[in-house]
Order: sequence, then C-alpha cells, then structure tokens
Amino acid sequence: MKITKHISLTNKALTINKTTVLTNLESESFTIFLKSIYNKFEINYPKYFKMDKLSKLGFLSTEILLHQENLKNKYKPNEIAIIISNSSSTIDVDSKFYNSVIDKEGIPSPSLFVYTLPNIMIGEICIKNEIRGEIALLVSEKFNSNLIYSYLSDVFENNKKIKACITGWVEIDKKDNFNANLFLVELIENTKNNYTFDNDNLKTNFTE
Amino acid sequence: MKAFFAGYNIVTSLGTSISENITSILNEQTGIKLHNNFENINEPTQLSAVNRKIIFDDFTDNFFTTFEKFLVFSIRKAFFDSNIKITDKTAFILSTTKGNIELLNPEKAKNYTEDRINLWKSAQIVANYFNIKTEPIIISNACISGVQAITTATRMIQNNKCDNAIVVGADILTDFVIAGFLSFKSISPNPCKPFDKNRDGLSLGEGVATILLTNYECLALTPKIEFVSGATSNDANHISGPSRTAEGLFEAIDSILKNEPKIDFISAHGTATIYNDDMESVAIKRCNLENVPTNSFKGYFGHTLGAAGIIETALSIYSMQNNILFKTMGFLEKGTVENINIIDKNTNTEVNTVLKIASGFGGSNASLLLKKHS
Repeated sequence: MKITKHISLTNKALTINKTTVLTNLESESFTIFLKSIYNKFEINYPKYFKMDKLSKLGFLSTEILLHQENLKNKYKPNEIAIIISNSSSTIDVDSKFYNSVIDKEGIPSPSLFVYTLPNIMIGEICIKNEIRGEIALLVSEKFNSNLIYSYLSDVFENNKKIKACITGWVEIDKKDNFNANLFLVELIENTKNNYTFDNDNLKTNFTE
Repeated sequence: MKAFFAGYNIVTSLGTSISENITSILNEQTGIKLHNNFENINEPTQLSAVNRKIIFDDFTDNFFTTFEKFLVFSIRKAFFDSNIKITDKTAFILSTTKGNIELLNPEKAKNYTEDRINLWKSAQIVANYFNIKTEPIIISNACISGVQAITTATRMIQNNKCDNAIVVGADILTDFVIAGFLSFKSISPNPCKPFDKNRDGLSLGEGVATILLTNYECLALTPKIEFVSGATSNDANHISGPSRTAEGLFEAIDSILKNEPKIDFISAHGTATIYNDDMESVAIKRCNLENVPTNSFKGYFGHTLGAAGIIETALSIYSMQNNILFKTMGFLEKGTVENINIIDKNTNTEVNTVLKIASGFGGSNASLLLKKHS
C-alpha cells in the first residue's frame, strides 16, 4: 500500500505533495480563500455553494487531491473507500442550526440540519466522484495517524473489493480555523514518487 | 481470530434491560407516545423517551452529562452477565450522531468545560471511568454508526488488534434533534408503521445499547454467536434521500453474503419513511432475499439514531439465543415497491444466521452478518 498523493489546505496555505501552491497572504476568510482555490482549479459545481463550511472544505480538498489523477478510469465506484476524521464534528453548522431552533420567530431550516451530520461531507464527495466503497467518519481530539492507519488497514484486510482510499483529516472549529490533510492511498505499486502507507508517513506528512 | 458475543444491554422507552424490552415486545406494547415537554418544540410530537430517572438514580452527582450517564449505565449493565473483563487490550468504540449536543444550551453547559461538547471528550471521560487503556474509536456516520461500530470491533478482533471490545451507542432526545427532524417533515403524527402501505414517517427515539465482543471462544456466552463480517457503502446519489435502486445497500449486503447460502432473519432499518422502506425492499429483492423473514424494531421504540444499530443487533442476538422472531410493530398491510417477507406475528423458529442492515443520511449503508455456532 502506498500514499500516492497528499494535499493540505489550511488557513495559511494550500500544498500538494509538500509543495506550496497557494499562500493565504492576506489572511483572507475561509469563504474567500476557498473561493480563490475553487476558481484556480476551474471547478464548476454549483452544489458547492449550498454546502456548509465542513463539506466545502472536504469537497474542495478532495477535488485538489483527485485533480489529474483519473481515478474513475483506474477503479470501479465500489473499489474506492473514504475514511475521514476530525475533532469538532460539525460544530460550526450545529451552532447555526441551534440558533434557528431557539429563535422564537424563525423556522429551523432542514437544509442546515442535514449538515449537522459530519458524514454528509463524505456523501457530497461520493456524489461528485461516484464513489460507492466503504465509508467512515471518525472523531478524534487531534489528527491520529495510528487511528487512520489501523482503521484503514482493517478496511483493506476485510473488504477485498477496496483498492484505493481517500483518507485523512478535515476539520473546522468554532473560530473558523480550518485544516484539511488528505491522502490518496492505493493498493497498487505505481511508478511515481510515493511513500509507504504507514503510521510514520501519515504523521510526518501531516501539515499543521 | 473470530469475534464472539460476550454480553449486552439495551435501554429504550420500554425498559433498561433486554428482558424488560422483550417483555414489552411480547406484550405488543410501543413506547412511542405524544410528548410536549421539550423546550423550544411547540407542537406535541410522537417520541420514544427513556425513563431517565432510572438512569439518573444510578449516579450521585452530575460529573457525567445526561448522554454520558446513558453510556456508563449501559456499559455497567452489559458486564453483569458477561465473562469478560477490561484488559490493557480492550477496545472501546462509541457510536453517536450528536453526543453532548444539548450543551449548546448555556444553562445545560454551565457545569462543564467548553470542550465537553466534543464527542472525543465524552469518549475520553467514559473510557477513563472504566479504566480503558486504549484510545477510544468514535464513529459518527449518521444512522449506520451502530452497525458500523460493531463491524469495526469485529474486524479489530479478527485482525488480532484487541482481546475484547466494548461497543456502545447512544443518542438522547434534545430540542436540537427533534426540531431537525420536524423541519424535515419526516416525523409521523402517529407511532411509526415500518414497511406498511400507509406508513408516513419515522418516530424519533432515544436510547443506549452496549454489545461486548471477545476473541476467546471460551468466554463467549452460549449459545455461541459469532460476528462474521460487515461492510459499508455509499449510494453516491443524494445527501438526504436514499437511492431508488438501493445501490449502496445492495453493495453493502453483496460484499458480505458471498459464502452464506441461507439467511434466517433480516433485521432491517425500517424507519417507516416511504423512501427508506422502499429502498430496503429493493436492496433485499436485488440480493434474492425477498423470502427471508424481515422485521423492523422501530415501531416499539422509534429511531434511536446512534444507538439504533446496536439495540437492534442486541435484539437479533436475543432472537438467535431463543429461536424467536418478533413481529414488526405498526405493520398491517404490505406496501413497499418490492414484495418482501415482513414478519407480522411473533414466531418460534430456528434462527441461526442473521443479517442486520442500516441506512442513513449522507447515502450511508451498512451490513452485518451474525452466525450461531451449534
């Protein structure tokens, strides 16, 4: 198993395989920084604008991870897994939805409520990329490379259909600090520069 | 290594043990009724609420939140009749959708630190209380979380990563969750009617359940029940509606049924929404399982979200232990898009192999296969 690609997208910068592609020099807000990336990668997906922040971050990070990877030609929909972890679950949209519940004059919005489940982000990624393999949303205090390595090893071991996985960390906290670190893990050996899929390589590649 | 059943507990509106729940189920009682005492919820709503006093009486103070008390209460009870003990290699897996979400209310949050709303914080606190040494694993994958948590524990045991595992799942009724499902217009004005022609929505419930697993066959409860395998899959269709062709659930079932010629019982998700039950009927038909006796337990105690898959697996284990299949409360007349074999009366019959399935928001689907050893 190999880590064939890694991207990180944080308040500070976007990196692809450790190379900084874009820096958030002006400390732009979440929405503006991500929109500039959306434009740079020429993404055209109107549903993006209906998503909550966590789904936007997960979706956009995956688009960058899979950019020019041609995953669809390499794997069937049921051969790709998505295992993503984070710390704050959906706290940003939870607060917004709760405010609508306690607002005596307002009506709670179903379009907000659906995003109060963190795995909706995975659903959005699956819909865009036609992925139907194993899925999991795990919660841990900090990025836990051992958790991801162990969980994913079991997925590969016990579901022999799975040949590739999008995995890592997609987090946004109450103060709009965000951090996405996604890894593409593939069973096959390829010719590109890559890392063995193990605990150490997940840990050392993770970008704060 | 094989994963064996080693103990359980369930808490629903029908009681705080398996036996209390079974008594009510045999008496054809439902715990779903009209409630109008939830803050910020203006309309009386059909809900399945736990008698929380029985849980709270087990605690002398409010060190634990309500959600955490549910977890601790159920884990303690699951160990009563079990042969296993917590070791340095006991895995702890928590299934929940919203955990301590009620701490968004400042009044409820005042006794707790700010980080208490996080799922990992609840898991840490409960793990510390039971002196669990391994890092908790928290699964928050909507309504499939419970089934997926059991699959996760099964795989860990099979791959020799732990001696035994505590799988616990809970969600409590809050204005947050009730208002959410009301906003979706998915709550029925009556107790839910899974798989029925006139079904018109789900009933929301709260609950907690614990299942203990062991890798030591000699510590398994008899009759020995093995957790064989499980899988998950995504529909890749819609974030809040299931696939009409049941792509994901078909995939999840198909992944684990390869070597299993005969299934005696399917414990379905059966929320009683029109689309969910239709989708499940399509998946069951596509897997050629349309003649297998199938039920939904939701008519007894509603949809308990993160607890649901574990409560329903626990009751399926009871079915295997006692060779009895339970009727689908609320079901009167067939009315799903595919014709499947819904159990309409309690039946004594040999139950050796069980398929548990679940589906949820985000296009999530899960399957789990259990087998009784003779």
